[in-house]
Amino acid sequence: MNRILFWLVDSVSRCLEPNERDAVLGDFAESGNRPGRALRDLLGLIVRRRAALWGGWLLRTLLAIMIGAGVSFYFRNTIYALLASPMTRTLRTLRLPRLVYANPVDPFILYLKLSMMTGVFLASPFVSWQFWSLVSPCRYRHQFRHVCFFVTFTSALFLAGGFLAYKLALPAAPRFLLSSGSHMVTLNEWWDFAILAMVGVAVIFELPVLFWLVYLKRAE
Amino acid sequence: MLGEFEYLLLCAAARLGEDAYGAAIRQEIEISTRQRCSLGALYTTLDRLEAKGLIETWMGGATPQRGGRPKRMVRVTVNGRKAAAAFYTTVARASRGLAWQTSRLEVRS
Repeated sequence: MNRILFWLVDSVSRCLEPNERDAVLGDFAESGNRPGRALRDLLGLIVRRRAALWGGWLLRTLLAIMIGAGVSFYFRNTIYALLASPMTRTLRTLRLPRLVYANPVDPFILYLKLSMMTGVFLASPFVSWQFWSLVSPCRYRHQFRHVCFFVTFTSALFLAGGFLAYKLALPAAPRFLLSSGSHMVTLNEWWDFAILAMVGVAVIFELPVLFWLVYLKRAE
Repeated sequence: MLGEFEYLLLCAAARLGEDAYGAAIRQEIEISTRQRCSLGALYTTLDRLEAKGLIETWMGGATPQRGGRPKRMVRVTVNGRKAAAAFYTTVARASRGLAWQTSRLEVRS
């Protein structure tokens, strides 16, 4: 158990700056702290460091998403028509009934959800810029070039994932899921599924970036 | 004005003098307060005090009992001493005539 905790302390301490990591691990060794307490102390330090670092990042990211969502809400009818078209075409082809809503506030809630989702996609370049700035602060010109490349790559993958789900998964889903029997699908149920599919596939498309990050971390 | 923990840290560092570094300061604070001192609070407060110009820190030499890892050494600056003195004077002035000051009431923690 102690060996696992020591390993955890060593692994988690890599989140700190090299100098600080050395000082902290040296303090633990000198004080003869038990690994459980050392791990708790270390996590406390990392949380404080990250909170100071991520406070502004989180605020800017949320603000960007909210602005994106605001713009999307203004164009909600156009966005709805655009996003619904592949699915309505499929419903018409299969001679299935149109989607219904069971509650008068459902359409409004749906517009809010769609606006938030579109806001996330619109803000994705800015969000990835913020993320990469956090991971690799641009102190030098060559780092700036790397960050530009990664921002473009990350955003392109995210948007490509969303687009693929919209173009392939959403028209195919009713054909596959509603092909037998009679159905009455509500608007909100369908769109919950559609939003999950689009955002989910977009997030899965970010996996190469995650692998790349892990590779870079291990190469350090 | 200093915070309570900042004052404790300055006192510990001033008392330790040339031997003031992370683990020693932490031990000194734990002895004087009879409470656990969180490492996160210690290191973030060191950064804050350094940013305010009240202490100076640098990486010291490595020792075998630290597993060959260096210490983060700390020195209280002149401004740090002035700030600690001002804090102490304020607390002493604010406490004048109060029950816990006149009867030397000891609060056990």
